[in-house]
Amino acid sequence: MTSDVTTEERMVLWDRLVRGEEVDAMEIGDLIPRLAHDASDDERSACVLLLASVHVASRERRAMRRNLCAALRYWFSQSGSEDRPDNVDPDSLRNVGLESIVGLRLRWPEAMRSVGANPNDYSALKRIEKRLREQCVIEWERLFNCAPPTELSERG
Amino acid sequence: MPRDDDREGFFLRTIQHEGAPMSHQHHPSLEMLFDALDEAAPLEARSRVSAHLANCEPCRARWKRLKGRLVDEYQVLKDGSHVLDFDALVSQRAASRVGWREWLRSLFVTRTIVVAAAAAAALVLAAAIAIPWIRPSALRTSEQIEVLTNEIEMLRNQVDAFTSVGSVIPNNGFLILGIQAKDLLAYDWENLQIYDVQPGDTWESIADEQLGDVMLWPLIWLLNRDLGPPDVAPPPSAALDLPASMED
Repeated sequence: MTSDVTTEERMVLWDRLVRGEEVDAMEIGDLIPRLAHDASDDERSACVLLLASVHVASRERRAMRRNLCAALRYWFSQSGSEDRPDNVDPDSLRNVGLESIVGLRLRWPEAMRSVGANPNDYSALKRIEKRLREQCVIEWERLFNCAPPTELSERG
Repeated sequence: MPRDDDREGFFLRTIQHEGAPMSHQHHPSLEMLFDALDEAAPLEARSRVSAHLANCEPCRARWKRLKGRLVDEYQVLKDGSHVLDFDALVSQRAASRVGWREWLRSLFVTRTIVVAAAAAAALVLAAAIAIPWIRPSALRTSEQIEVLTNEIEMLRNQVDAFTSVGSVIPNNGFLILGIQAKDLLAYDWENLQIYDVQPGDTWESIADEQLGDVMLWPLIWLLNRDLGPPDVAPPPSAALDLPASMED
């Protein structure tokens, strides 16, 4: 029950990030006490990734914020149980929220185009992943006072 | 060392866990769904509904049906109905007011002013041309009438004096324009003869035919001025006084 409520509150923040809206880091301060040490690894990863995304959205330059928005759309569109629709128009997704993204199975160029970025910039996904990974390590160590999972800590 | 797909897998797996369908105890009301459709609604309210719809499959299905129904209704209104909603009526009213103002502005600022300016310019131009031309003409006419009146009066006095008193008329010098003293002296102005006016006669034709000099017609008229003005021919059958030739 507590996990479900926390997930809903995180989803509200994810929605704002997917829309390209800025989220104040102070707004997610209430989430930290809820991260009990007995939380699942998925819960921990989700909170750390949310904190890292909020940090990037509020501190990084405009291009990196746009890459973050495209990456979140790309990842969230792979969730849900629906099949990819026949007609996906990235230009119609400029100001939409999570409810319109989930289940679309966007390709990376489509995700980039939906935020008005160069659709052929495939390296943008690598850059935002690298930046998020760095920030996730910082947030993980700060929150749990322990080493992050190897998939985050190891440098490629 | 983790592979690249492992690293990418972390983000994808984490996000997919976040967006995975889950069961909810509470669901948004129909009013909340309608509010979420309004882009003017607060972002917090829209995000809360959107976040719920993202991982609540029953609400997502309901939401899709609702949006589809609204799209259909909007298309019906757009294509076949003349019934406007309040916002459309307000917009239409505002547009009509703007159109009326624009019409007035165009009428007064462009067309009327252009026409009025053209008319004023035409009047000024006509006055500038006509006034200098009319004024000297009027002056010339009044001056000519005055000169002729003086000449006739002078001629009348001279003829009266000549016929009644026998004053000496100078041999040289003009009495009136076109008549010299020698022409008068060629006739006897004391012993007048009678001439019956014929149909078609004029003062000029009588002077030309009876006296042999058309220029003497004013003198004939002066002798018979009781018969009418000089610009009207003497009436037929009237008896005219004519001077007799000194050679007869």
